[in-house]
Amino acid sequence: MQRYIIRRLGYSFVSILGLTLLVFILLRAVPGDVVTILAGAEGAALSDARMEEVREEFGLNRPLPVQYVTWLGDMAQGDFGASLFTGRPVLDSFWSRLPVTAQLGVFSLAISVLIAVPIGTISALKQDSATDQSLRFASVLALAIPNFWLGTMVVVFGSLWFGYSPPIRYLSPFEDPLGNLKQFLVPGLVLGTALSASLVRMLRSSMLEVMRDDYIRTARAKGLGSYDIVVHHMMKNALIPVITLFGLQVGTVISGTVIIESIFNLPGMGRMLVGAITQRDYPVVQGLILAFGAAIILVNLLTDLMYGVLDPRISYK
Amino acid sequence: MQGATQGMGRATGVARVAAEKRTLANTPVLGFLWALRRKPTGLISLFVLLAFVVIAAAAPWTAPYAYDQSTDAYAQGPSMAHWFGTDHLGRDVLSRVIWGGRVSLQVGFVSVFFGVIIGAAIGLMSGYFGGKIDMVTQRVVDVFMALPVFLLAITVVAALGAGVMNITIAIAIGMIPGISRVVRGSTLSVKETPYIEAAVSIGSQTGRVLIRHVLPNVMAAIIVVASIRLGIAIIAEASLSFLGIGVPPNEPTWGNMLSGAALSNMTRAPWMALFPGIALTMTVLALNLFGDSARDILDPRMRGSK
Repeated sequence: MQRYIIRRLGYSFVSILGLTLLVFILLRAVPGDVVTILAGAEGAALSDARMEEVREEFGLNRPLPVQYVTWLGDMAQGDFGASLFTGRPVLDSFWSRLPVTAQLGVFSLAISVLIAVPIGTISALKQDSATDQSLRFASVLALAIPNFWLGTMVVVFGSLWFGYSPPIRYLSPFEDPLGNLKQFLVPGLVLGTALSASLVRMLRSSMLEVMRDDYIRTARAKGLGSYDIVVHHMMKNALIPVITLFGLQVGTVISGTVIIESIFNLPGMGRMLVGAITQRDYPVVQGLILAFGAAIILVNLLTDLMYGVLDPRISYK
Repeated sequence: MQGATQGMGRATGVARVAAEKRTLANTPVLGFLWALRRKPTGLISLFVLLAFVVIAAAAPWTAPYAYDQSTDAYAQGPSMAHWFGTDHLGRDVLSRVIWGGRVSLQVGFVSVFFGVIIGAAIGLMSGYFGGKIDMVTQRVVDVFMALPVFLLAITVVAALGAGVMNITIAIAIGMIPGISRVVRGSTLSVKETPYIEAAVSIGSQTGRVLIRHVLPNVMAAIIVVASIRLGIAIIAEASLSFLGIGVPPNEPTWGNMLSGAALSNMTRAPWMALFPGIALTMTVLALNLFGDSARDILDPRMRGSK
C-alpha cells in the first residue's frame, strides 16, 4: 500500500509539472506578445524603443525555455507574479478570494449530495415505476439546463416574484454568519442542482447493482428489516463509485463557480478569472488556471487513495 | 483433412471473415436509422435537432425580422407580431433566437468536427501502435484532461482573445483530449478482433488496415462521443459568450443574449431570458438523448463512459 501511495504521489507531482508546461505554452507561445497587445489595448502608441524596454522588464525577450524555468523558479519561491493592473501580488489576491470560492464549492457539493442521495435511493428502490421514470427524466433535464441560465432565471424571476436580488456587498461568515448563509444559499442551490443530476444517475445505477448482490439476499434471509439493509449494507457499497464521481465533479464545480460567482456577485476566484481574462491580465490568469488545475489533480489523488481505503476488495501491492 | 486444406483454408478463412465483417460491422447510415425506430426518444431527438439546424441555417428566410432591427416596441411581451416578445432595444426575440442559434450551432459543430478529426487521429494512433507512442501520448492527454473543457477553452481564449474564430479553436482544443481517450479505448478493443488479425496477416499495409478496417468499427464510438461532446461544446460557447469573452454582443448567440449586461433589463422583460435558454436546453437535451440512444444501438458496453 505504501509503495502505491508513493507512486501515486509521484504521478500527481509529474502531472502538476506537466500542467505548468501546458499553461505556459498556451499563454505565452502565442502569436503577438503581451506588450503589443497591451500597448494596442491602451490605445497608446508606444515607441518601439519603449516597448523593448517593457519587454526587457518583464523578461519577455529571453528565449521561451528560459522564461519557463525562471517562472518555475519564481513559483517555487512563492512568487506567482503580480497583476499587470493593480500590481498586487497574485498570491495575495488568491488568499483573499479563496474562502469565497471554497465556501461556494463546499455548499454546492453538500447540497448536491443532500439532493442526490434521497432521490437516487428512491429511484433505485422503485425501479421503473412512474416515480422512477419521472425522477430520471428530471435528472436528464437538469443535466441539459445550462447552469448560467438557471442562475439568470433564478435572479430574474426571483426579483420579479420575491424581490430577491444578488448581494451587493460580500458578508464574511465571521462578521455576519446569518447574512453570509443567506448570500450563499441561492447560488449554492443553483450549482448544487446542476451537480446533483449526474450524482443521481450514478447513485441509482450503483444501488441497482448492489441490490442484486448476494449478500443483500443473505441479509434479507437473515430477517433484517429494509431500513437496515438499505442503510448499512447497500449504501456503503453503492457509495464507492459515487466517490470516484465526486473526484470528477471537482472540475465541474470549479467551472461552475466561474459562472455562478459572476451572476451572483460573489468576490471569488472565479470572478477574478473572468475579470483577468477580459483585461488580459496574464499573470493572474496563469496563476488561477494553475491553481484550479492543481486542485483538480490533488482531489483526484485523494479520491484514488480513499478508493483503496474504502473498498476492502482492493489491495495495492 | 487438416494438412490438405491448410493452404487453401487460410485464404478462404480470411475471405469468409472479411465477408462477415462487411455485413456486421459497417453499419451503414440507413441501417442505423432503421435501428433507431425502436428508440422513440432517440428518433424524436434526431428530428428536433434536424429541425433546429434547418431553421437556424435558413435564418435569412425563417427569421421574421433582422437581428439588429430595433423597433419602437420596447420590452413587449409575446404577441402576434413578436412571438417571443421584444427586448429592451425593441429587437424581435424570436429572430434573435434563430440567428443566435445559427452562430451557436455553427461554433458547436465546427469545433466538434475538428476536435473529432484531431482527437480520433490521436486516439487511433495511440491505441493501434501502442508501446512508447501510446505511453507518451497518454501522459500528455492526462495533463490536458486535468483541466475541464471550460477551463481549457477559457485559457485559450485568454491567449487568443474573443471572437467566433478564436472560441471555435479554443473549444476544439478542449474537445480533443476527451475524444482521443474514447477513440483509443475503442481502438484497443477493435485491435484484438479476428478480422484485423487477418488483414494484418495477409500483409495489408498499416495505413490501409487503419483506415479501411479499424476506423469503420471505431466509428460507433466516435458518433456517440461526438453527440455528447457537441452538447458540451454548445454550452461552452454559450458560457463564454455569457461571460462576455465569447462572441461579441453585436452578433447574437444564445449565450450572449443572456449576458449579464442585459440582466437588469431582463427583470422588466423576463421573456428575454426565457427563450434563448429554452432553445439551449432543448438542443443539449436532444443531443444527450440521441447520444444515449446511439450508444444503446451501437455499443451497449459503452454505458458509463462519457
